[in-house]
Amino acid sequence: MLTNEELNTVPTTNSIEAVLFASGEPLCISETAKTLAVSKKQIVTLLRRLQAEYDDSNRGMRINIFGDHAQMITRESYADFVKLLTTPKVNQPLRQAVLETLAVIAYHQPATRAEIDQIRGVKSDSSVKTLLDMELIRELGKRDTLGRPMEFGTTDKFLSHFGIAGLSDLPIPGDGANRLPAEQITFLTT
Amino acid sequence: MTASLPFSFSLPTFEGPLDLLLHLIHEAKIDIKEIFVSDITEQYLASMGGAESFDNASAFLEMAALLLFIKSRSLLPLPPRLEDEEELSPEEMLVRQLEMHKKMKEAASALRESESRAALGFTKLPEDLAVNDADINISNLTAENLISAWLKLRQRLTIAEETPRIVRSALSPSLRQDLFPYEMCRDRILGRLANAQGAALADLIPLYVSRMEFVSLFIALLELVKQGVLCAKQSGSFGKIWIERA
Repeated sequence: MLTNEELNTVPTTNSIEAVLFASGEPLCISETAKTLAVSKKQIVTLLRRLQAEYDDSNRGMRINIFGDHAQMITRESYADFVKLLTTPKVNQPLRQAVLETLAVIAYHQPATRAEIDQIRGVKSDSSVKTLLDMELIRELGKRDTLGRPMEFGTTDKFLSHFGIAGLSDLPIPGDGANRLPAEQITFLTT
Repeated sequence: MTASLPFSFSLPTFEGPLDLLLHLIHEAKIDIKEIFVSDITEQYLASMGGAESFDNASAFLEMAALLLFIKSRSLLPLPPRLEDEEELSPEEMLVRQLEMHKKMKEAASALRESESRAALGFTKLPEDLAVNDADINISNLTAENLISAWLKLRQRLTIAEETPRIVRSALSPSLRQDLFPYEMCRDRILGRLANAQGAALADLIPLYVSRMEFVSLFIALLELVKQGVLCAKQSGSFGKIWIERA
């Protein structure tokens, strides 16, 4: 086994850029840090620097950092151009029922099935299953209350699907004057 | 939609009773809290009457019952409310539920906006890069190995080509006789194993039989393994598969 020096695996913005391109799929930040035996913060710093370099020159690609993952993605402003010349794989929009179920989980996590059903006013089992299958939500564990219901939370794939960097960046619902302050987004007070 | 027109819509477009109620409240341009002094209850019941069958029918009915219950309560004098009573009245409960539902709707539409914005970014499909995969060792292979492997393969291909076509039954041109029924295949396999400790898979199901016979025998073998009559053992990857009685 070669040492880090021998392999020259000290990460730089350029080497991270190469890895992001080669992998295509989201790169797990904590796993990368572990493999390279550097701190997670170091990787995040490099990613942010790379992100800034791309943004400053308004490159065709940008670095999407979401949750514990980073991915190279085409810049949204060039979408028309990309679609004109290629047929890229497009994420299908979610069905309304599924989206509403996801909204409850996203803004009120951890959420249980009963809470989702209560807010939506209908059973949400099939929507929950769809979201689990799509890996947009995951089971967080059982709540320590009567019946020990399963709690659900969102995944990094959820962040990626909606172009959100982290849960603190969830879009603020409502429009104009009705826009709720961020801390009041949680609509379940009970 | 003008007021003179009869109120009409199809119920199935509503996800549930809360959805329908919110829609009615929105159409009537009233606040959620005013729901009980309006004719929303009547509208709700009327809109349910028009629908013959829809999803979540029980949830819609439950809401209808709740609305009627609340209406009947309003006609009767209520017992004085205890000061420290924590529990919400059915009216308060429903208003709160509707408010939460409305916020959920807003949250969903905020997410929908984010979703359509995010759909403008495209990513590359993951490369088929095997990371740190175990090396496949081919150092022991010789040219002779390669040639014999090729000859074996060619032999198999030749046999497959020469397999005679299945004879169509004389009874009917469209019905094919099952030349290799399961029972027959089962008996053949068990017969082979009657006096032996076991047999190699390749010997039990020889390659030189017709395709139909090959498949029938294999299905019979799988069935016997599933029933626990036989068991299959393999020493390692790509090793000989040995079949014996369980």
